[in-house]
Amino acid sequence: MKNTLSRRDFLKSALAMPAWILDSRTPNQYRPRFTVLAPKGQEPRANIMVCIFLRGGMDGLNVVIPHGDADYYRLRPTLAIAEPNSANDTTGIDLDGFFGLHPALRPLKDIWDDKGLAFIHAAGSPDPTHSHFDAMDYMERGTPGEKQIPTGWLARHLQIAANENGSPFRAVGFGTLLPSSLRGPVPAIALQSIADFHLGGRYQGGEVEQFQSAIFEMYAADPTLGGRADFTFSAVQLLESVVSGEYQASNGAQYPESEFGQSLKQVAQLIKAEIGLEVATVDLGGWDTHVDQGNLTGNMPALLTDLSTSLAAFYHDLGDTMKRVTLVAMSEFGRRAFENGGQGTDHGHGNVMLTMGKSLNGGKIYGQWPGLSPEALASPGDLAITTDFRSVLSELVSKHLRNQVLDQVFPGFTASQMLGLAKNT
Amino acid sequence: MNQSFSRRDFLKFAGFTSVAATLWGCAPQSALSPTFVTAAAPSSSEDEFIVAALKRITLGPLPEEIHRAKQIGFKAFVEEQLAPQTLDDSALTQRIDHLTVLDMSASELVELEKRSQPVTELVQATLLRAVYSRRQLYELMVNFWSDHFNIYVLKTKDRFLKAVDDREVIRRNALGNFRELLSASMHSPAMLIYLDNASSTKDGPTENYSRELMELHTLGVNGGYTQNDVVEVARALTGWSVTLPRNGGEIGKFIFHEHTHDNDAKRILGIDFPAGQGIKDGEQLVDLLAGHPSTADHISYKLVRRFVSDSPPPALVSRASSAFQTSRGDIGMVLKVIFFSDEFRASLGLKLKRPFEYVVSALRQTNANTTFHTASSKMLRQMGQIPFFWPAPNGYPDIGTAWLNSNDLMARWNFALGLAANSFPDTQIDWNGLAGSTSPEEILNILSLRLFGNVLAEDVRQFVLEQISTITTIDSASSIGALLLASPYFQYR
Repeated sequence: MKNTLSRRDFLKSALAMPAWILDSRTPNQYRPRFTVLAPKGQEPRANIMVCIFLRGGMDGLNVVIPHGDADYYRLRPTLAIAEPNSANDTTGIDLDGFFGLHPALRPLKDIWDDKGLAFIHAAGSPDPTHSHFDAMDYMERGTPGEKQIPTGWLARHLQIAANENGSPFRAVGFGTLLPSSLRGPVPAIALQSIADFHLGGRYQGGEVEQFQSAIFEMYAADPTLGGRADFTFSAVQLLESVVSGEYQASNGAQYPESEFGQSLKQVAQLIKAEIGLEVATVDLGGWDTHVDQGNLTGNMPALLTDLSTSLAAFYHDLGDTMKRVTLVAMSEFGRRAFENGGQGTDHGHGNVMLTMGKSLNGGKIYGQWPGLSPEALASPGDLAITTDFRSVLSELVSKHLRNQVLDQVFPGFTASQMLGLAKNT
Repeated sequence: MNQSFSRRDFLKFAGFTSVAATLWGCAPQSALSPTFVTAAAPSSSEDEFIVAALKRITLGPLPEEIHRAKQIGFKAFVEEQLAPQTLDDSALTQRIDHLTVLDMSASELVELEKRSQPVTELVQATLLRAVYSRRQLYELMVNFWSDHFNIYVLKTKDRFLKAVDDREVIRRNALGNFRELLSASMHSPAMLIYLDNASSTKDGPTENYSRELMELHTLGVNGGYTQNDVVEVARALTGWSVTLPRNGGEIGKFIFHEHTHDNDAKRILGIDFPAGQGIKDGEQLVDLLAGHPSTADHISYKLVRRFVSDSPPPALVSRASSAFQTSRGDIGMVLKVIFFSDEFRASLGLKLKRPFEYVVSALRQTNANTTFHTASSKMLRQMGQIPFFWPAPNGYPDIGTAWLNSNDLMARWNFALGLAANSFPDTQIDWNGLAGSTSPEEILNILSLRLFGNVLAEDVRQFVLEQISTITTIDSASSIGALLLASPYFQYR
């Protein structure tokens, strides 16, 4: 932070006037200075990527279960999900004869059948760290093993893809903090609740606006906070102009009341509002299931239920708009192939990634299955990685977001080949 | 730096003092401390330093604290704060007396009819202590260690046990010795449950606590341990658990289960742990980790980041680490190296407040009367920093840019506007008592001294006065207060 001067100016010096006081052109009332790319009903509209981060290390082996691999049952005597049996809804839901869905993911089966859902198994970040924080950091920077590049992969995409979209809503991170994937020169909005995202209070007439204008001008002179305040007011103003009343989901979609479900609902609301959204991030945490993971009920199945009902509601709510929207879900690492003594699993390596949308070649599991035999496992007993997560994201960035400058989004990485996951749209 | 304070202004202030003092004196429950002192502008560069330094080593300095530091000097003030038991805190005691969970044992907490009571009251107590305690550096260090040894209160039994951890681990050792603190945390039922060690046995060791103990609590992620060390530490801590009803006796206490402990030999960080040591494995481990140079570096780095800069100056980290090592983990000695450094002096006023610091400093410096019952802590929740609600073991982020976003700014502004209008039923500010005047100009000067420790430059003064001139819902003192609290200048410490 290099704001020594302005701070001291403010407090002490009558000689150096803050710029906003001297600049008579500064409007007293804040006015927006952006245009939204696509007004309602007008082409072209940017495609949209929704990135879900499943924090804590999701146990992918119990999400998309390799029921055709006998080692899975050998390594997980109490945690394994039983082989699919269509007469029994506590067993896996078969997908392709080898893999099956955890029963808590049943709401996603229709979407799989609709070819709107695809998984990439044994995927992940090649860096061997078993630290949550390093693994998340590497994945969100998009630079495994490398912390010199300070920006996130989504932020670099946005920077390259700078188009005429001047909307402050190009990138939105749901939650109180922005994820590091959005850290970079293109500002992103952190948002918890659309309904609460405005200045309020029990003031009369135009007094809230009066405060807003005064706050805006005071912040304008602060080199650290000024840009963020300006940006925040732009966002509020735009939001108020396009969003009003309570949001009604379409097609009978029912979002759960969970924080995750309500965040996805608001993503859908922003998408439908044509507010210029290109990238949204939503977190779902709680996957660090070292003990009492639960196989059919308990901690992890509850998270899977939240995940699947929220994703299903999102997919059905958006309907054909899902042609423009691709959702990708990832976690910092998978979990140990064998269960531990506490009916849980320790930090692992390879994992499953989930993608959803109507411009995917869905209904398919991508990637090479390395197996779970002792010699196939990565140290100290983890699912090996056969697909770098950057291969998956590169393909989505290139085909769905139409950004071909992949060596800047993922510096130092070249995907050996496209998986064929995304359609050319 | 020059004084922008003319003699005429000073006389004006002297005139207000008596009025303000009288009003405050009459207002029930409003005085934070029995010895009331009026805010005064700094009259020397050392005074300016004291004002700025106290914004760092307190959660928002009160006039009487600034007065005290000016009187005895910064070093003596730090020494006084490092001996918190010598500072009378009876005013705080009155505020938290009604919170019954603070002295309860684990088994008493578990038996409470209202299951949410332990968490609700612990959060409330934490905020009330931050606002009303005179032991400000102590409270800051409690806050620091609560992040360092983070425990998420919604993790199963931790909704009961965190209150015990807060009292017996964090508060007992916050300004003591790091080895003792670490040892207490390793024996803490809340921690053993939070990071799953309570169910780690020789037949199924769990790595969660083992890894975070080295990565987060001691050595740091680049501190020189390997995956094999993670496995070996997990083995050394098998059997470290928590009493359950089936164990008989009191529940929620530390227990060592001999029969689930892996008693074979281990090798950790190149050091042999002989077979058959039982619980002594853990004791050898405390000494090994607490005395490791990587731990000294890691803790020092985090302390410098908290108290000096988001980008800690390496030379200062290194000096702090030396003090950590030569003093064998004396936390106060490390803090003194930091506070008495040139780097500290040069960094003042440049660190962004985290939401907790923002809210607490606003309440302290406006002499607010709050119970933190619900409303104002709800605002802290919107900013994303309610105490003990960070789920991951790394604690709330410590750098300003992590918090600097649209959600946080909007929540801060709404907090300022709501607080100023006395919109939160659990929190009241006697703005007129605080300002002690009806003249907007005089109010502005007094509130500036109160909130910034200094008067404002003339252009800013004029701007603020012009802006509030059309606000009629609340009086001048409240609207000036709203703007100053919402302003960028109150976001730094």
